[in-house]
Amino acid sequence: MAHDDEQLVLLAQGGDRTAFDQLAERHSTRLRRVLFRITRNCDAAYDAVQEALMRAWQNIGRFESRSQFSTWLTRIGINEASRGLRGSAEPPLELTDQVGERIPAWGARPDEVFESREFLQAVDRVLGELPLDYRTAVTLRDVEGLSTAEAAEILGIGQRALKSRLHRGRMALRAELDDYFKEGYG
Amino acid sequence: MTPTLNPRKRHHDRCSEVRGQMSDYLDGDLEPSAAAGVERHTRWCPNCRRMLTNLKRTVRGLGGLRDQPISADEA
Repeated sequence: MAHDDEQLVLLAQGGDRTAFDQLAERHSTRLRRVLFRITRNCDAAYDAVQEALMRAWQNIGRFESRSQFSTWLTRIGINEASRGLRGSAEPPLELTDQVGERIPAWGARPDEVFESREFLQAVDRVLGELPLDYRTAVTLRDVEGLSTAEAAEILGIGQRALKSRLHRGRMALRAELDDYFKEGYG
Repeated sequence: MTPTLNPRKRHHDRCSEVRGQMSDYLDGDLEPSAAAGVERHTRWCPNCRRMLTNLKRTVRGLGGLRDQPISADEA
């Protein structure tokens, strides 16, 4: 019979490594996806996942189940990934005030253009250029589809702060993609 | 903020206010009256309308990344 996360956590807290491995297997795919979007590097994401799992196992006794296990694990993973990124050069994308900004006109392109692989690649590229805090907020909320409350909890910030990062990050992405909206994809 | 009678300044201020609400609007986090205000403004302001449309496309594109392979070994 499959156990839910809560049961597996209790077993793991009693020293059951197999139970912890089941938790890890259940949640590591999403964690790796999130950390890849943040680090933009498969090796760095893989390393951060491994480090996060090791720390989670070492500290499972301290986990008090006030949040979901996945939330806790994701927070550990993001801290690990961020540690590796701090100090590296910030991406070039600037966050600017949009007031007074001119928005380019667009041609009559069908909406399917904006579901194309080329468009998704463009979105992914500019996401990688966002400053880390904004990239992380946008990844959790918009790429992974977490709620504002869960994303804020993972990052250890208030919902208002999360929304602020989300808004500025989305607007910066949108501004960067305006050329694509204007010019299309040939 | 003190209201101004200058129509261009008022328009600029309203654009600024609406653009600051767009993200919450897309998430359904605005009060109904504020959401109606965003809809009213974007109906007649072409720049804000384009910005909102492009923001929607951007957010939808971000959601589309979830199913994309993240490395060559998953492609």
